[in-house]
Amino acid sequence: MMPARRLASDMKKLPYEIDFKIAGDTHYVAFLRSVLTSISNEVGEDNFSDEIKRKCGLALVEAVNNAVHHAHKGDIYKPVGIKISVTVDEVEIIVIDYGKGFELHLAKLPDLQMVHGRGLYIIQSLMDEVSYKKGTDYNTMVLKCVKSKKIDLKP
Amino acid sequence: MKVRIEEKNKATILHCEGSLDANTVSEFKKETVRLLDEGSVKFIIDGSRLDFVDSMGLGSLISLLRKAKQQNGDVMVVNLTNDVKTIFEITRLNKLFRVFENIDDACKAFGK
Repeated sequence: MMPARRLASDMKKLPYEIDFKIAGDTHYVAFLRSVLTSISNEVGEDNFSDEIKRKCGLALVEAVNNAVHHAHKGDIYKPVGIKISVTVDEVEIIVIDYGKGFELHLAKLPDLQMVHGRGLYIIQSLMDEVSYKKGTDYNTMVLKCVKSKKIDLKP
Repeated sequence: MKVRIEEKNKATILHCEGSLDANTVSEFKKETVRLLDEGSVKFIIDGSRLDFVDSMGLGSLISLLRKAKQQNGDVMVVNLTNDVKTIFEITRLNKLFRVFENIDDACKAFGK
């Protein structure tokens, strides 16, 4: 039996945008992953494939981890702003933190035995473009995943 | 994340279900510290139902590995789902952990 599929007329047309803020406690991971699943349901798998969803899901979680644990130093009262846009060509994720900011660099993998220090490397490995702009009141990390390009996940 | 513990051939198998991430690492660490305190040093992580691991989850596995090795034990990883296998490959942790296709092979490796 063929699985049920949503009618094309039911799906939201592109571009699709959602923006929200989350509190800085650590119960955000499952929520963020479910947001991406919801977006996929809204725009359809043709516009937001499972592979893109998985890569963006991990990159988004890592970017928010970075905001909460590094930029905000674990301060759960500082919110993290998130905006996700899906267009025909790409998925763009913006993560806003209200910390001191940092200088974005090309991350290297830490020593294998190190417990920390992989988040930025994972983001840069999964996304086509990563930028970080330090501002006066907040800082903006922008992640872009190009849809048409086949990304080789092998290091 | 749910963890079901099984003892087999002097190894402690952790059947993990769900997501090992910033939200769940503290509970995972609590459980593994308890097992280490009780004398477990040979661990097998069954990842067949582990659908997501972030960098903090990876950190908790590395932390367990370091503590186990300090007591002449080890941590083997088996049955990784494709997504988790990918993150292991991206971060090269497939070079740090011994990865097996099934629990029996991991148990045999402990026996050697």
